[in-house]
Amino acid sequence: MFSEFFQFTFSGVTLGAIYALVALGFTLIYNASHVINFAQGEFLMIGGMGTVVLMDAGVPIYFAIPLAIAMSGVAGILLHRLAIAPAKNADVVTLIIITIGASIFLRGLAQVFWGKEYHALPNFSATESINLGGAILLTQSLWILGIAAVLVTALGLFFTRTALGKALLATSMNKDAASLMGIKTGAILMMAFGISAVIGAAAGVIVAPITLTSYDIGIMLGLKGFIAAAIGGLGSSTGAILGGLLLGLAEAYTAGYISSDYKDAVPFVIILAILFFLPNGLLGSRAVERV
Amino acid sequence: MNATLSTPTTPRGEQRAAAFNDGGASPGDRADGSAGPMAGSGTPLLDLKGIRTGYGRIEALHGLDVAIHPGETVALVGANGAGKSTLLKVISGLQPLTAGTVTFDGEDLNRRKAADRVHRGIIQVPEGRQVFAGLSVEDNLMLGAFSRRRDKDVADNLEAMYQRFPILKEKRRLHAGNLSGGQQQMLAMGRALMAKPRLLLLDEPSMGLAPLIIEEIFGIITELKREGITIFVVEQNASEALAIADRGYVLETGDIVATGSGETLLNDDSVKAAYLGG
Repeated sequence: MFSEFFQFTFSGVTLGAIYALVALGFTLIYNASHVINFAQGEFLMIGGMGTVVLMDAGVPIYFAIPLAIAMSGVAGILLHRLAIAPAKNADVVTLIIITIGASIFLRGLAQVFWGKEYHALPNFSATESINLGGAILLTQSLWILGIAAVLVTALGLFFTRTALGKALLATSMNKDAASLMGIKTGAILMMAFGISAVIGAAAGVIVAPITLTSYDIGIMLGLKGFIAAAIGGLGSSTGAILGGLLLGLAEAYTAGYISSDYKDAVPFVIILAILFFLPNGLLGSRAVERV
Repeated sequence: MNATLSTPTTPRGEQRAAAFNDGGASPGDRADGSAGPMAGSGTPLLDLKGIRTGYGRIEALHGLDVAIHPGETVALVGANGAGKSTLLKVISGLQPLTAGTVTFDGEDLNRRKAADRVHRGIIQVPEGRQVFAGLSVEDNLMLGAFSRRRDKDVADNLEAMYQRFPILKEKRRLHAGNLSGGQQQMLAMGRALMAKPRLLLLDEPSMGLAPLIIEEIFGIITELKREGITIFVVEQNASEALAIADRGYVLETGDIVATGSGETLLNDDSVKAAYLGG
């Protein structure tokens, strides 16, 4: 009984960590530009599929992973340079539609050049699972939790300790005032896309040994990450992490105690409830203007 | 308008360090208000020629000329909606021009973006303070020095700023949004000074503040003036602004209608009638 609960909780937290990373990517770009980047899921796909393709070409895994993540970072920067920046003063809805277009484009490219098959990445550790008090823990889950914790900490330090991180925060709070500080807000936004793409790709790589990866993996993971960000209240990093973990746990308990058929419906039921009763999310700021 | 142009100023060279030598730049070497007309003497630090700009199809500025010489304090006064803030945004690069030129220290700035102008020392304190509400007071000040964040003296400058504004030191860990209006104005000015301005643009520094706080803010501006910083201040509070200015411009619906020494404008009957309550 208890070991079952422990098992579900553990897989929920694992899934939640992935959703949290995707949600952080959404939050970062939303803060810097108020754009919801629906191509965020494709960064996960580039991370996972990129690693698979590089390994097929004979690159050892410990080079393939950073290379694929870097590739995704470049894709993020290109997305900003080629699709978002040229639209200049377009309104936010237009920019969001551009990101939807970009996601379809990236998925199409992957389908054409990398194929439609599902691929598995090998576990990061040789031992696949360990038995802990009757529950089976995948070692890959420990990798996921560890790497997610490192990424979240690094991001936290970036925002609290570095001038560039604070410049990004300042740009998200008040773009005009930020340019009066000498901050190049266009470059800051490009950096936000790059960082989001790197975080997304990292999530895509670490989850690939558990969920498999393919050209269309980004649709569901991206949507669920967006829902996690919305639960937390778009724009709050702590909220994104909280939202991710809540979503992961809700999915795992539903799959375990009710039926795994309903697993994928859970996020959409939750988002409806949030939109009805807490439209600003759990930690979202009320739109208060001080004059 | 019978006000005449007079520029009581001695051109200065490098001003970027001025904000930090407490009293180091002595006021004595500047001719005071009685100096004769010196219009055109020396090159202006900032030279605006034929400035036109607007919002959509509505033109806000109809081709104005403004010149500011090194070390001067110049006031731009006028009613709400005259285009004062628009002119400052033109200088700092937030508002694009439809015609005219902005020349700073001999360089044409028309194609330079706002961030590049900051690197050249044009620092604006925006209307309504615009502090970064969710960041700490100290982070706000440090962001002011963003354009020169690799300089070694930034930490010393921060300490100097805390000495100038002790209240900011007391509240340095608080979010800037929790400060009172007057404290936010001081923070916005401190943030601008951290950039070591060669030209300080102040947009309505007294807006929405209590009379006692306004006195304090203008006291600080006078102090900065004494330290030799070139200042362009835009104000609806015409009497206060003209009282501290070497020179002033009166802006009316997008045109400059009067210019002269601060004192002359203060005593000008038509300016009095329009902006100083008779």
